[in-house]
Order: sequence, then C-alpha cells, then structure tokens
Amino acid sequence: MDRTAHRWAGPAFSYGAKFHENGVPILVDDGFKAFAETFVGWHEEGLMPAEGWPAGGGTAYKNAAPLFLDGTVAMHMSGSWMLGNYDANITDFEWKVVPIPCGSGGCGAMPGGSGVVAFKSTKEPEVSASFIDFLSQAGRAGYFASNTSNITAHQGLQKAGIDYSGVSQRVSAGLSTFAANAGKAAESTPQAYWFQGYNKNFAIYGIVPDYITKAITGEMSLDDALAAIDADVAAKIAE
Amino acid sequence: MFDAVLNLNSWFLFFALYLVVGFILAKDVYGFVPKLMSSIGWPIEFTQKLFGTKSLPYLFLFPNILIFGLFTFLPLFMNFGFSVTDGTSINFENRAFSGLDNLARITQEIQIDTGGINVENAKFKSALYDTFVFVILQVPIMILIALFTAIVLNREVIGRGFWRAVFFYPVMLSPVVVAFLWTLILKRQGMLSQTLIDWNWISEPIQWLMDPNWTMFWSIFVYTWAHMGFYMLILLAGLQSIPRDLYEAAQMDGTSERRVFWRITLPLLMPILLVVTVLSLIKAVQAFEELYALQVGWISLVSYIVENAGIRGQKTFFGLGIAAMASLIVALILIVLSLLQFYLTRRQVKL
Repeated sequence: MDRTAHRWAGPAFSYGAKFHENGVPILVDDGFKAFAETFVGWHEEGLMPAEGWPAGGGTAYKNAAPLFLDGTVAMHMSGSWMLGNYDANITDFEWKVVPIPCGSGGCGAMPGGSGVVAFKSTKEPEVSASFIDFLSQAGRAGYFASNTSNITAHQGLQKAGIDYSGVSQRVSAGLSTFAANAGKAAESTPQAYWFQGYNKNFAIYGIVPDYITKAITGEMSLDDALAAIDADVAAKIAE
Repeated sequence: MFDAVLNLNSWFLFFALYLVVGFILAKDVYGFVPKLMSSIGWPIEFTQKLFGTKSLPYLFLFPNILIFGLFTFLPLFMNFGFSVTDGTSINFENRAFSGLDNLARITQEIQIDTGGINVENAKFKSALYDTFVFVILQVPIMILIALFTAIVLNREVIGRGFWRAVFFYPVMLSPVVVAFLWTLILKRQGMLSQTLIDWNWISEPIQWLMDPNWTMFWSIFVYTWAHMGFYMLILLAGLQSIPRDLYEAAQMDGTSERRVFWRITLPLLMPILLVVTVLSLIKAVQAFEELYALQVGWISLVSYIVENAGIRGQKTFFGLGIAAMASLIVALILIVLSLLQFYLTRRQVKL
C-alpha cells in the first residue's frame, strides 16, 4: 500500500470508519481503530513489507509500486494510473486487477475519476453547466473514457463496463474493475466521496501515516498514535 | 512597438543615438579615444556632474541594495509579520493579527485552538532536541576528521593532489545526489544490509535511515562525508600559512613531533579552527537538504519549518505563522552563533 491516508482510507471505510459527521472530520472511531489495529498487526506478522510504510518518514508519501515490480510484495493497492506502467514493465509474472474487498462497513475505495466539476466562482455558470452536461452523456463519457484510458465517473457505465480501445486486454479489464469499485464505493461507502472532496484532505493524508508508522515501529503505542492523529488533525484543520 | 524594440536594426539606431547624445554631452577632451570613451560613458559622467563625486558610490551600490532589500530584507520583515498573524494567505490584508499565539501553538501543552493535547509542541521540542544532538555530535566529529585529514594531506604523501580532490569531491555534489547515493547503500534492502547479511553479521536487514538506534549515526555520517572537504580545505590553507621557519627552528632544537603539533601547529591554527567551528555550527543548525532527501527518522529544525510552511502538500490555516515563528527561533540561535564568530574573529585580530 502506498504510504498515504488516501489509500489507507479505503479499507478503513470497509472496517466501518465514518471519517466525518455532517462534514466535520471525526477520524478515530471504532472502525478506524479496528483497521489501525489490523494494519499494525499485519506489519508485526510480516504480511506488510518493512520497505513500505515503516520505511517512510514523517508525513511523506511513499510509492509502493517498486515493491510490486520487483516481486517483494504479492499485491499493490493503488490507482488505475499504475496499469500502463505495469503493463509495460512487468514481463516475468502474470498480474491482474481484483475488486476491492468488502467488510462490515461496505466495499471502501477512494474514488479515482469521481466527477467533473466547474468553478463555483465562474463568470459563465450556464456555459460551464452545459459543458458538464455535454461531457456526462453516456455516449460521450464512454467515448472519452475509452479513448483516454480513464476510469469513468458515470454510474451506468461503471456498472456496464467500458470497452477500452488501444490498450491490452488486461489493462482494459483492470480499468473496468477500477470503475466498478468506484461505483460500489459510491453506494456502500459514501464517506469516500466526502473525503475525496473535502478541501483539507491533504493534511489528513500525511498525518495518518505519520502516526500509524510510529505505532508500527513501536515508537508510540497505538492508543497514543490514534489520540495524536485526532489532536493533530483537529489542530491542522482549525481556523 | 515591442517588435521594433526587439528588432536588431533599431537596437543599432538606439546605440547610435546614445553615442550622439554622449558626443554632445562629453567632456571637452582631446584625441579620438578619450572622446569616444567619454561618449560611451556619458550617463556616469553626467550623473557625476549632477550629484557630485561624493554621492556616486551610493549610486553604484543602489542596484545591489535594491536586490538585497527585495530578496533578503523584505522577506525578513515579512517573516516577522507572518509569525504574529494567522491565515493561509501571504497577503497581509487577509491575515489577522494574533500576537504570540503561534509561539503558544508550538510551545504549550494544550492546543489553544482545539483545547486538546498539543502534538505540535512535542514535534517542535523533538526537532529542537534532535537538532541539538546532531549539532553537538556532528560538529566536533567533523572538525576532528577535517583537521586530521588536512594535516595528513599537508605532508609529502604520494598523489597528494589526487587525495585532496577525493576528499573535496563530495562538497561539489548536489545534496540530493548525496542523499540518493547513500539511500542506495542504507535502505533496508540496500548494499550495507545485504553485505552484512552475506558476512553473517546480521540475520535481518536493517532500515539504517529509519531505525531509531541508527538514524542519528547515519545522519551524522553522511552529513560529515558531504561537508568535511570544505572545512578540510580551509584548514589546509591555514596549515600552509604557518611560517616554515618555525618548523625548521623546532627541528634544529630537536623538538619531538608531538610537541611541534601541540606547541606550533595547533596554536597558530587556532584562529582558523575557531572560525571553521563556528561556520560549521551555523551550517549544522541549518541542516536540511541531505537529511530531507534521505528521509531520516528524525525531523531537523529546518525540516520542521518546511513541513509546516505549506510549501509541500497542503497549506493549513496556522501553518505559515507556526513556520515563521519557528524560523525566528532558529534565527535567534544563529544570531548567537554569529555573534560568537564575530567576537572570536575580533579577538583573533587583537592577537
């Protein structure tokens, strides 16, 4: 798993983490804590690699793709932008994209192409709206996604799947799996869409790995780390 | 209009016009070359005529002061401003005055905005403490090694120029390149762990850069490796400035090598050693690039500032003010160290 709460949030949603209440972040709840315990446990067991989260410092992002490329790990949780890289560079083993696992809280995944937006302050609201409308028609959205290898934000297309042109069968299937995940997440874990759109989410992306790593390496107890996450997030989003 | 200015022919015309104006204003001198020089330099001569000779030096200083003021003094004052105001904007119109709130945010046990525990306090304190440990260990170690290397390389060793280049070479490397090189060696599956496993010295690879027992050791090691050459060079120059006849006199008296070092080399090198110490102290307090790029397991003071300032990642409402306040504290430490250097070099002049 890449070292950021953007990835971490997905399984946390599945464990039942709510992440917010009426638009105000409440990170540490029972679901969050349950996944944090499991996640730290995975590192103790050696299921998660020591070269992953524990090898990163502070709030820094760390890409886990090299660990999958060289075969250190058997699975990489990341986004659809990895597919081109893997398709081109992995020659000595077979790989495929699998659906996100589901838990008691749903099938959580942070959405990728979660929507097309316009600026609220635009001088041309009607034109912007009609352009969004133009892009979101099923036919055009499908054409755009198919030709740009993007995962679609269109619910109908997410369910139906898109026939991607100009990419290998496995990338095409992978992109459709990602799109389906986004659709599933929209229904079962709507907090993923809240978190994706929350305007202070980047601070949280860094704070979670900072303290969870400390719990993994034993610098802090998990309870202290969770308390620190709450306190740090509250301070960083305060105005 | 701009096309015309950029056009080469019009440049030529402007220059001709410039010369004509110069020719009219030029001093009444005889001979073609003096007249031409006077025509080319007419703006200076004209200004001199206008303002007098005394104020001319200030005119020459003006461009430098302008740039210095714009990029050094102005940010300095703005930093003061940031430290006592809140907000994400760098425009003071959108920042509210908050007094010493930012100082409270990084030093108090209770977070003043949320009323909960203050993690920033612990972070800042550990940055301060870790940087202090780093400085206290790194500076003497580096000075000793640099002094030792300089003394060795001041002797008649074979390939002296080559060895001097070898020790100076890391100084010329970009900090990021230094960090990249050492990451290849020190990461968990890096060369060091692999070699030690091959030798059966360790059974599990060690994350040298993050492991709490090793992170400070390797930070100091890599930082010393990268910067030692610079101070070695200064010390080498100092050693070579010691008059030869003192050594010859000592030799004639049959003084032991050890005594020569303690009684001649070290006392005469002391002023330079002091300057080198203070310079490296200041540099070590500011340590950032290599450590940040290496992703070591502790946060230096400057990393702390960069982390909070919102340069990387997302700006937070109080981040810039907190970073500015922390930078003022670093500035205070550096002012003390600089004054120390000033005092020591003054004393050296008196000696």
